[in-house]
Amino acid sequence: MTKPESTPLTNADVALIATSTTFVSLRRRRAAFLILATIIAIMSFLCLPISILIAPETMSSPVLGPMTPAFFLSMALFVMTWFLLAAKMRVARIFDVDAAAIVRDIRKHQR
Amino acid sequence: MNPTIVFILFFLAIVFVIIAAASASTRDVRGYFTANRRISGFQNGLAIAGDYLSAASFLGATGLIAIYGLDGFYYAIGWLVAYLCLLLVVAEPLRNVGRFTVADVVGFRMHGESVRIVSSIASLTIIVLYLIAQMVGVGIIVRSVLPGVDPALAIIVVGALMLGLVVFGGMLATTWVQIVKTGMLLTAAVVLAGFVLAHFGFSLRALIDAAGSVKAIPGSVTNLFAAGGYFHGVVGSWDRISLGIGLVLGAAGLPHILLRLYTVSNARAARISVAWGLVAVSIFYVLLLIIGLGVATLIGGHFIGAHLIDADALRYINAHPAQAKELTAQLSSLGYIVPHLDTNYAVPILASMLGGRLVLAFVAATALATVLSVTAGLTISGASSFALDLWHVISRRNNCSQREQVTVGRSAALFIGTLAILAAVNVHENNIAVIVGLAFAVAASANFPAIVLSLYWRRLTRAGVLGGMSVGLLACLILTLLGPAFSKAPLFPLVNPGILSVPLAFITTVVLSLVTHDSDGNAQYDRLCVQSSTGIGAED
Repeated sequence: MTKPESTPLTNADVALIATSTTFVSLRRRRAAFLILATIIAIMSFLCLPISILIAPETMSSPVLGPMTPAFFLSMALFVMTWFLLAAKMRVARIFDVDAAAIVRDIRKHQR
Repeated sequence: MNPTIVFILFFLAIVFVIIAAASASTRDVRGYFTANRRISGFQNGLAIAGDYLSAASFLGATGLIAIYGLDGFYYAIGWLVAYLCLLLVVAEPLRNVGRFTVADVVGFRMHGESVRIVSSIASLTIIVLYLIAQMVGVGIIVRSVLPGVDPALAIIVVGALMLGLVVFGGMLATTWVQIVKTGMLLTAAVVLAGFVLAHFGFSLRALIDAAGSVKAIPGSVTNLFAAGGYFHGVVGSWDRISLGIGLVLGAAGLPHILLRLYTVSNARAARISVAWGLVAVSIFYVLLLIIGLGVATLIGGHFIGAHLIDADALRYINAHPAQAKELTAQLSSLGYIVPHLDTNYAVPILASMLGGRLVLAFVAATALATVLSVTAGLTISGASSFALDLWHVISRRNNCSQREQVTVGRSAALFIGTLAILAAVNVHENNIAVIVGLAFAVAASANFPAIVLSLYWRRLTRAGVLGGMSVGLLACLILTLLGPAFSKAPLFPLVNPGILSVPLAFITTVVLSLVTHDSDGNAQYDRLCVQSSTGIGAED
């Protein structure tokens, strides 16, 4: 990501950026990823206590050796965390490039 | 000489060198509170992990896994997913929008003193609660690894050391102590997990099979891989959900974790630091599971059971009222109800059993480093909130020299630290878990909705923020006081209030924002969006 210069933005600059198609598109894609990833993270986590509330016997019955579905779900949360971490780092690099382009455009406009 | 003392003295020597090296860079506000934003992403990641992994994780969670199995591991999973939420929702925009404190983010849109005052009160409440719990933990660690030393004296000595670190070394010294501590913690975890796996011929399957034959609580029907060891019945299941909500959303509202995001140069470095922190934390929790199962298997249920604290045993009896008399007699005769013994013994016992005095000594030094680094992080966070929000912005109307801000910050650190030391000496140990849970719940209820809605919701108004933060904070405190943790005849059935207080805070914020209008906050939203997304205007 290009390091933005420290020249402050005027209200007109802010309005220009906020309404530009590049910025609106960046915001939309960022929001889409944020909402999807956060829902996956929180819902996956809450699946564990909720499924134990709904089906305590099933979730605590051994299915492979002594291991239970609740234990497998717990370990799956580690996999989910690493997957979302990798996805976040990947998309963030793309967003960084787009953000740098917006910064370059506004600096050009300011000059 | 006792090897524990040798390791501790060696660690203290490192701390003093760090303080001496860092003290020169603490003269201005940026230097003292944010280490001049010169910490790299990787270094900050290790420091965040050092701030995040408290004594409760290292000693407490291992014991909980060993005794309660899956229900104990649930805490670790909650903290792990919470960290992910911190990365996804807060890390980058917070770094781009804020400067020094949590209140900066809310204050970006809502000018005026009231928002900053409420935000500071919520942050200071979280910090003081968390700090008291950590300081009480010092006494537990000392009793575990240095029997014969007065816990109150240990709390005062460690507290004084922590104050020296924060007052003279500022954020730079705190950061490096946290980095050293993370290295020590991961080393200790790898060594202990290695010893456990070596005992089972480095076969995870053999460890799991052996652990499968251990009951979660001796005498109960569940095994270590089943739920229900700690949270019993339907009420327990709701408490588990409530705890989960508090944990998952709480981390993204913890002031001492969020303050660390300001110590790096930009949002990309903040993202990288949280990612490295997540890697360190997740590796640690996997190792913690192995160590916990090792404790359960190698030390045995009876021995660990003998270290149940009163509250755990009593909670178990309360969950089985029909057999209360029989269970009480049984647990007492078997030695399960023993005053002042706790799950924190699990790691020292394992270290001593498998590694001998040398490994035990290293574990003791690591535990001390853990408490020192976490309390230092909390104290400097509280100091920044007091000096920069309450003093500089509100009391002196942004008209206060750099020197004065740093002096007030040092004084605030002294005051907050001393308060925590005095409280910790007088707080009963059984309340630690409740206090930490409460701190997470307050962070999830008061700070999290305000931060998230400030960053992502245009319609947010000043009334919404003030109402939501106040309701979240008060609901947490009141529900906890009305719950079984503090009341013999609880009006609220759950120990953890998050399931009610978090939605209440969100609903209050949204409803009040919809029925009020705030042109100031609305106008600033576009600027916030641009700054948080591009970094233009962010503090270098």
